[in-house]
Amino acid sequence: MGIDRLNQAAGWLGRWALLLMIGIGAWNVVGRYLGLALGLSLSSNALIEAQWFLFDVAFLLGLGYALQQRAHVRIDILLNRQSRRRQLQLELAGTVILLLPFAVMVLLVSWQPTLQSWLLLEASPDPGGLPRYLAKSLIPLGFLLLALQGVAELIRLRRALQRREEG
Amino acid sequence: SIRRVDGTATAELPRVRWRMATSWPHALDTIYGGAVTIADQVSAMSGGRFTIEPYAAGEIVPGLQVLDAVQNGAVECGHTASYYYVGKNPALAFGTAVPFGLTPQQQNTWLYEAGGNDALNRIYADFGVRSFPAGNTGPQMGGWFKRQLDGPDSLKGLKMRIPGLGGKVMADLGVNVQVLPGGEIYLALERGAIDAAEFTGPYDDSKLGLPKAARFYYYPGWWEPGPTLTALVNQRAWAKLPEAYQQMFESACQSANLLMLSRYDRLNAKALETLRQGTTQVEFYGDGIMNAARSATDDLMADIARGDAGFNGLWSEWKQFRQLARGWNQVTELSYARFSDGN
Amino acid sequence: MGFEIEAFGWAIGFYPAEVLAPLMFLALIVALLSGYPVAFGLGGVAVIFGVLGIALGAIDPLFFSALPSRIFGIMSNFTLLAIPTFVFMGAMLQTSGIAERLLQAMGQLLGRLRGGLALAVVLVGSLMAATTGVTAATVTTMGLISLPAMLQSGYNKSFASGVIVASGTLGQLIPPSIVLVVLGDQLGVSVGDLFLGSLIPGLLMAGAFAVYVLIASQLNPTLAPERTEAGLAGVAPLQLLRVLIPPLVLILLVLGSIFFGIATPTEAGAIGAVGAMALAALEGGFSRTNLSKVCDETLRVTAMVMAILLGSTAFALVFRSLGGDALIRQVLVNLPGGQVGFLVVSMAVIFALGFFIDFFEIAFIVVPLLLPSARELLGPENLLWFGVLIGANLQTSFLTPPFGFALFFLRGVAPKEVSTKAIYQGVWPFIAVQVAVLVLIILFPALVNTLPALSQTS
Ligand code: NA
Ligand code: NA
Repeated sequence: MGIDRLNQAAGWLGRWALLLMIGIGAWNVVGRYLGLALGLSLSSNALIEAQWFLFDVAFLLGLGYALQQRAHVRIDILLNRQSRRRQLQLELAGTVILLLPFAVMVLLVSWQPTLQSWLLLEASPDPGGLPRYLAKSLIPLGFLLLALQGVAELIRLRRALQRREEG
Repeated sequence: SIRRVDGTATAELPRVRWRMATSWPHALDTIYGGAVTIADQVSAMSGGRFTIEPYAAGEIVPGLQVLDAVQNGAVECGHTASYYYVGKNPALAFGTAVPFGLTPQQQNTWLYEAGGNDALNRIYADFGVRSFPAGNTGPQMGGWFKRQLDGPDSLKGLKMRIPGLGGKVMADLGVNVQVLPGGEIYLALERGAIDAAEFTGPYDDSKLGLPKAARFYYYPGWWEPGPTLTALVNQRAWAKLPEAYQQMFESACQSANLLMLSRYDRLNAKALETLRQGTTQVEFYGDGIMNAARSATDDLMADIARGDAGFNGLWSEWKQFRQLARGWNQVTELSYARFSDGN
Repeated sequence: MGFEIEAFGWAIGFYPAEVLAPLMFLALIVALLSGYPVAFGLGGVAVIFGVLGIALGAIDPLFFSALPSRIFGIMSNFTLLAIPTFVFMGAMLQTSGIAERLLQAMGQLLGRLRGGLALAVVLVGSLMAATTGVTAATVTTMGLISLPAMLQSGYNKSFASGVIVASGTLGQLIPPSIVLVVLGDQLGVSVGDLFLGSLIPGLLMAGAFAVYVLIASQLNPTLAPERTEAGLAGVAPLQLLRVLIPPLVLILLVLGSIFFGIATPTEAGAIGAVGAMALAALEGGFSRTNLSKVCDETLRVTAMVMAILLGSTAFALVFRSLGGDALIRQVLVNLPGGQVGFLVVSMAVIFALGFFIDFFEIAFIVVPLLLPSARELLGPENLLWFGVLIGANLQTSFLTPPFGFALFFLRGVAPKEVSTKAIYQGVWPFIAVQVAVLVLIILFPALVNTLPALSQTS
């Protein structure tokens, strides 16, 4: 499915963001002490904030990917005792009643503040910080990816249930 | 639930309940107390019909998101510091304090009588918000250092926790500026992850445990000589408020502004005395650092003004006021204090 | 919130919120037990009850607009950055086989001791506790490194899970700790004093876990195998050291650099992650495939943990808007007089709430309500001790089913063969140990007060 590929791409981005974040974190320590020795300023608030930003990219864009990969934690005590059909139905109900309303609600309330932030080209209040509007955009973007993946799961679940009824 | 209602003069006015998001934890009781003062007075003046419930940072929204919450109507009002939002508009810094800015009383004069608050409100109008001066911490201290300073060169390469414009000036002086949340300062300083940190003044700093983490306490806090705290109100909520309540809110904010400053001055004076008797060494920054910081500040402000017409306009007006206020202060308070307190 | 009717000088209030707030908990239990992801159970129930509250006029529709601000607060929380870095380090050590060899070697050294591996977990858990206060990072990292090794050595699944989760929560009491920072804020007690005061109780807690682990594995041989029957049996001591030393040096380097202030926890985690890659390269366990696998694992765990935080911030917002805090206030309004009565009831209430809501909200809602009585009944000089008591109590809230965040975090990284039920069962003995230590701290306030008092005089 196209949505699956989209979220796999988001996952790919998230993996690289994390690796880069780790690299920057390590550099911040090395740069601080090396800079002290060389009398240069090798670490900066921009690099510290870059860590945040990459972390945010990873976990927000990773929301839908984690759903696709069934990485979100569940309490499966009762679930394991149900029939396969029942499990599929519960999953379907959860997607419709819990996941989609949550994702849609966050989308509804976050697009406007994000737009406001873009219109101001909101900056960081701290010295040398990174633009805030980019970080804020990750909220609607991440939850959009999550909602889309929810729809993809819904389609898959319906198909699986139909196959069971036919077969 | 059932309770008794007092049916006197204000009986014809409607019941109004507001929520006030603040940028402060309960532990900063003096600054959080500004919000409590507003709530208590409004309730008392309205006979309990107009009530405001203050919330600590994080209860409804995080401390640095109060403007967003008021703007979007998540709460009707908030209690915060204007300079937290310089990322949205750099000129909002003047609402709180800028390096080498105004003393508490000069700040009040500028805000109430010299058009300062009106100028800020023109900016806040873009956010659908109205602002009121609602507290002042009094002059702040210059921060805690693990090592003694010796001129501008000793600042180079130091890791210091200092946010905002003061941080930008420090960065220009070669300081490795770090921005940590309040709760993390103590540990970072104690373990040596940072060499220096500024927070507010002796009373709050002692509560945070900073005297145990660093020995040298520098003054003055030249980046925050008299920071004002601000109450923000959503304009739609304000428009719906009966005129009597509007007046009550405004008066309560003025009360909070005066009471917080007085309270801080009392508590800080006492706390500094206690610190002096302990292991803390209280030190002056020295003319070298002060001069370097002032000229770096001038460059920084000019730099921001070049990139932002709004900032430039407000800065010019503000500078004229500062000039005037300083002339008056020199022959009055300063000359008197030099004579009477100086020796 | 609700409305009031005025008549004859009295106001009679109706608050649909008073009904909705408790119902929210019931709905959450149902949602979680349905087996749907915890994160979306929290978020979904929040939205359903938020909309219900709006429909009944209990809350203002605009209140939802606080949600993006709260999410942004989570996004810019620097301490949370420790999660991916530590998880990456753990996953890299695990994937490259270093972790397995390390724990086997440790088991070999402690082999004569039944439960030696579990003891090692408590030890490493205490070390991590003393450096980061982030439970999610500790539990997931230790879950990745040690759970597979313990299972392979034949440990009972519940026992192994219990040790890991419990050791992972030690970071709440052993300073530095986020719980204590929040409590310091709420109680108006110096964070430095709280850290000092909680050191002995924290170490006592770790010691109690160690003692329990040893006694339990002696008394019940099915919990822990006599000796690790791993591939390193009979290996020469020198060989053993070669396996042990490099990863131990890495771990100590990471923790030491935080402890001695060379790096913040986040930075140290990043150094550790880079170090783990270097170590894997040296030991021949580093490849493009492995790196990609480790990055993927880190991304999944990070997204899983953060999604729970996102869901729970939505839940807390709605719960509060529906007057849930007022509800708890009513319970606490009629606290019995006297020190003993106050202590017993307040501790019991915090413990009970720990089953359902996370420590952050408990600290926010409950502590301000308890503070006046605590000041009056215990005296202002005992607030520090009271704070540590609450901290120790809140540590338990991470562990108690059904809503113990530490349980979720371990579930998220544990292999399928470990059932959720096994995790839930494994945690009870440790909860009992925690309660016993809590009682000890209540009986002997000197455990808390000695160190801060010493630091005052010095
Ligand atoms: Na300050
Ligand atoms: Na800790």
